[in-house]
Amino acid sequence: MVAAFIFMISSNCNERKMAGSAIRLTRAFLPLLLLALTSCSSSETAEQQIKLASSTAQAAVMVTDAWLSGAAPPRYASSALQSFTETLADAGRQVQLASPSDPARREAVSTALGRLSSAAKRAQTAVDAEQHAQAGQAQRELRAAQSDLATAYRQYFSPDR
Amino acid sequence: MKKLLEISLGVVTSVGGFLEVGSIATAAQAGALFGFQLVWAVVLGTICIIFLVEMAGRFAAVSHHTIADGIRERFGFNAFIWPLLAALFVNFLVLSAEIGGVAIAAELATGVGFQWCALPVAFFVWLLLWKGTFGLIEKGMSMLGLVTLCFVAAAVMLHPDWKEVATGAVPNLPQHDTAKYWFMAVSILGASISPYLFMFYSSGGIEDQWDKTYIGANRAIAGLGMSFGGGISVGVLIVAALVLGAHGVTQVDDYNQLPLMLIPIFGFWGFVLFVVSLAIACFGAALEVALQQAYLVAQGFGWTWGEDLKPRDDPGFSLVYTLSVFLAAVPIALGLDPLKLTIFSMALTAASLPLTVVPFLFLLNDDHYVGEHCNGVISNAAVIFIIALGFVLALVTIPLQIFGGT
Amino acid sequence: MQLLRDILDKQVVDREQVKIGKVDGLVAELRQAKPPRVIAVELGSIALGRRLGAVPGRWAARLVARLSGKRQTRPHRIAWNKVRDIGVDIEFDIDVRQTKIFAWQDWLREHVIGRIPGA
Repeated sequence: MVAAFIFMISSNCNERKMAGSAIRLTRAFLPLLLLALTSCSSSETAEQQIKLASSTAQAAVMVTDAWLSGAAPPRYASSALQSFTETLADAGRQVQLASPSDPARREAVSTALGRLSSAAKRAQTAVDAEQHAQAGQAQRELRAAQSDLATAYRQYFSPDR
Repeated sequence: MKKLLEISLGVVTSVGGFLEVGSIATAAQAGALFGFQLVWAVVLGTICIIFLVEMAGRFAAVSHHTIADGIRERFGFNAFIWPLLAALFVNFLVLSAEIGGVAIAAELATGVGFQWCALPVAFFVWLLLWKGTFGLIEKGMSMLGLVTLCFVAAAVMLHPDWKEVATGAVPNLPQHDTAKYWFMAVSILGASISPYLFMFYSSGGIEDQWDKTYIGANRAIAGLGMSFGGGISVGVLIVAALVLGAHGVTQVDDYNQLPLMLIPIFGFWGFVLFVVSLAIACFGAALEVALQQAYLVAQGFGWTWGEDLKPRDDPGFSLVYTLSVFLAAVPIALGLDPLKLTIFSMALTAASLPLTVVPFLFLLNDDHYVGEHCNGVISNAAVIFIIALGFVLALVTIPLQIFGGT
Repeated sequence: MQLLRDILDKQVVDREQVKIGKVDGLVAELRQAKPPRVIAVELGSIALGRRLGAVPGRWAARLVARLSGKRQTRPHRIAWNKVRDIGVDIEFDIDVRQTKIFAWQDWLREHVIGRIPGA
């Protein structure tokens, strides 16, 4: 007589641990990350914001250009300019908050950012109203404010600080 | 003659299917900020994906198993569950990003906010999966995807300094924004070496009923198709460098900046071409990723699967893609920025690579599956390299995500 | 033939080549003074849950019981003597329509997928 009973064969034996190590390593890294994250300096943020603003302003110039030459549909140009305006205004706010350094220099950067943002806004209004001349003017204003920003940026990060 | 036709069709399919929101966005960001410096990341990623796709195709042709089948059978369910979960999660993010890409194209074209477009886009993706066949989705959408060649045309028309492009194809160190540089390198690699791409390819081999006679064709399709595809990505990078970067638009953080790549070259048609390219590339990729989710689950659990079957004949399979598509549309519909999501998910894809690539080392060297068509030294070296790369990427991705990410 | 390597986790098809599932578990019989013998394969979420551990196994069983409305549930079993062929897939000489393995898919077809136009 066969005394039989039934059992399940688990499959653990032929499985390889390939997932575990990657996950464990990543997990070990996390505290380090958090530490690094909190040590981010504020002047870096300001520099990032200025770079972002400068790039966004150039994009605004390009969009206006494209609209003036009839290459960009007005709906796209308008919403792109609106989005750029917001980015520029936001950069201005970030710089105000970020920098503990010399207030006069910070002010110069903020002013330039404010000019850029309002010029982009005007470009959008001109696009919405189909005013070519005003769009061109807003574009020139963007370029002028852009060079203001470049000057302010150089002073902001000048070594004699 | 028939084989030649099949090869060309296969090559065209992979070229048209190569570009998606990830490769467009990462190449555009890299080109705008670093010029041609990151061409090497595209080249490296393309070489890696050629090897993986070739292996996935060979595995399917010889063993009649998809990669997912193979992983489950060879390593058992308890090991399979990790790559399964990782791939499902990464694919979810990528699918969401692709739907976001189509939604952005729709916003650019109509002016309706992308979050309102997400659900209708998801519906169209689903409808095509519900009604379409595998051939229609793979071949048809990829043919349309050839419109992305406009980036190559644009790159050539800009007369780049080819010597400088070639210099960028050799890995080099950044002069500025170091963290961003490496983060972008990781994202480009993640965008090129997508697990969904090679897993989908192996399912496609089974759907198209490949056998051993397809080994040569498979090699040609993988090599040529992916190389040309990588060429389009390089095209995007060159255009971004020479149009955006040269105009001082170095931080491509806003999707509204993307159409500016083609407008200075083609004028109004540049805008149209960009929108159409983005829409088709992302729509095609969304179809493939959604299908891949269903393949993965159905193959992992042994359900009936096949895009050529009617939904009522494989209800489990159909349910998975239906849920995948609509769930993936939710983050976009809630207003999550598609561009940010794209960059994030590409970096995460790179980090998930070890989980999906390690099995290749075993499967493609197992007599049981591939017999005499085992990996040679070069292929094995390539897999080991990709795994090592994947581990490094997994380690650096998260810190870079914080320092270099947007 | 090695059971774990060659049988476990393989694709199972019925005599019409319909894909039924994977070999999620094996059932063996221990005999006195003789090597153990496989008597059946198991399929389904309960068998899978048990492979992950005792707790996931209980969860799976409870979930299946809740969904099917029965008090007690067991994994689906197919007797080993029904094996017809072992190749890429394992073919069993059964008709899946006469088993309860596809009950959930039938439910899904009837209540969800089948109700969507074009299915």
